[in-house]
Amino acid sequence: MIAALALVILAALLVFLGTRVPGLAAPTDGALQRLVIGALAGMVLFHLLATVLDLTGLGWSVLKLGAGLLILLALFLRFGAKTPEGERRRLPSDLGWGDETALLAVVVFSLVALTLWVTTPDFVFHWGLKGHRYFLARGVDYAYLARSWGWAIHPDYPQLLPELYAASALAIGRFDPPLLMLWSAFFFALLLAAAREILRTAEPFVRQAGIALLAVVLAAFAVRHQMAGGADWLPALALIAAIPALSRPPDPAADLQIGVAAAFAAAAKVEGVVLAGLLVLAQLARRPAAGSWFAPGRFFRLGLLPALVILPWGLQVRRYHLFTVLSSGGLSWERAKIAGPAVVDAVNSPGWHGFSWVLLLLPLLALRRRSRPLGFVLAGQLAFYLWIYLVAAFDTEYYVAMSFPRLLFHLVPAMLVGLVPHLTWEPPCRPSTITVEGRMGGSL
Amino acid sequence: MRKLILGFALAWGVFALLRETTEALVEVDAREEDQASVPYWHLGTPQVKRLDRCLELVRRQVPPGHVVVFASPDDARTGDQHEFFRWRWAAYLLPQYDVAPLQGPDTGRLAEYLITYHRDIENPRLEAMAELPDCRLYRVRKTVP
Repeated sequence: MIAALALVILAALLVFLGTRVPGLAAPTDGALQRLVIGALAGMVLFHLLATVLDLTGLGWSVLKLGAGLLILLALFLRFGAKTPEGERRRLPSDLGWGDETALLAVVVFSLVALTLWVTTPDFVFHWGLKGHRYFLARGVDYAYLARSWGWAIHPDYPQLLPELYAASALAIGRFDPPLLMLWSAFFFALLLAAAREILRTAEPFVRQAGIALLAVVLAAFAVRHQMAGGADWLPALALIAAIPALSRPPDPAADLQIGVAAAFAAAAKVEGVVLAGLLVLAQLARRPAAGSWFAPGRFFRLGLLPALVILPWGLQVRRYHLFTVLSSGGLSWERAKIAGPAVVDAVNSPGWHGFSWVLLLLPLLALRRRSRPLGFVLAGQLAFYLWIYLVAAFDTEYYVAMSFPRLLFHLVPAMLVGLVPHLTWEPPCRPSTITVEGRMGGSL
Repeated sequence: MRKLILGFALAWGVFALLRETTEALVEVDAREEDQASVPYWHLGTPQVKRLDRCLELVRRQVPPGHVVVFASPDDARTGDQHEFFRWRWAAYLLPQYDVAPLQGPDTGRLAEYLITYHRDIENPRLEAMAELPDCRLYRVRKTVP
């Protein structure tokens, strides 16, 4: 019980820290969006702190990590802008049966995850192993990753998730796999909170049915496909957390939110680096609500955090020769003939219960100006996955079957949420959103 | 009509979650009887516990930080990858060691200890340290005596 409490305190500290980042919250953001994007910012800052401690050779301890986080928090509280009193209480007051169903789905998934039966094999093969190893080494153990047999643990993968596991173990005092599964439940809850925020302007039935649908679909897949303990929650969360900012005309807060989501995705997985690039590109391609299109401030807010995440990662991968080269055989028609049916089989994967076919409706996102940026990012990420299958010189059928159902998990939540408002949509009621409606979208 | 579509999808989703959860809980209840092959092992199943009992030899006899080679039976068929996955499970269960595969480019040079699991290996560099019914622990000498 005390161990679980330590984990909760760590997560709460990261959320609290992130929500205090100056300039991150827009006046139009509800409490849930602030919480979600704040949580992502807190985890990105934690990752940067852990990286600094690594690069300086100081290593990790509860004291060093705790002091670092508290110093950052003190700085934000001292120098950050104060949140106006009236904007602190925009928690949803219209909770209904859909929210209760979603909460129940999170609880069900959490309880099943605690048994470790739905723990992803990748927790054993690399995410959990790395977390345990870093806990013992008090830092990212590059010598361990660089062993000639280290290819088996994907040594070039970004480190956020193992870092969270190691920090949890430091806080608890031991490596405790069942408790670490609660991180997946936390990501699931954040994902649903982000979706709830996006659906807030939909009519009541669509709002409630939409959040309930997303929750049960993801929980069913996560249980069937053993998603507990894995990192695929993180790109899915980054994408869905970026939707509010992608759906309104770019303003400084939206740019920073996209920067946070992109940095979070890049810190999570290699494919998250691609997602980060797409998010930044989608935002940069749109004309801002005010000010110059290519003002230095925009680049700073959009690019600083992703750069701070990607550059040290790239440098360490290069320094320790960790990059496991993708065995590329070039585009091949023969491979495409195998990949096509394999992709269809993967979309039909039993865990999805047919819901992954929702991606066929991706062109619908182009119909509305506000959903075009999301459509661009989803299409780009999907194209990247398919392209990899067409060039990777592996057993294509096996490769697609082993990875694509799981990679769909990055895309389906955002697609479902992006689509539900197309069923019915009430016009946003906030004047600030309406007045600039005509300028959103830019070149996308 | 649109509400009907959404309602139907939700009902289908709820059915899916109930079915998956029920199946998972039935499997959890039967965890002790699990007979899955190596690529489908789960945490807490008898197969993993048996391997863990074997690896206890390493934890008792070898100080943390050393390179321990893990050897288990060759695959019966090419592509089974059972040997590979047994090695990965051993690495997960021994995070305080560098667990190397038997067939690695640096294994012969870096090996300090060897643990065999359901497999016999004879090599003049090996010095027996301890054994259990299914496994043996050896110290690996740098040179042949």
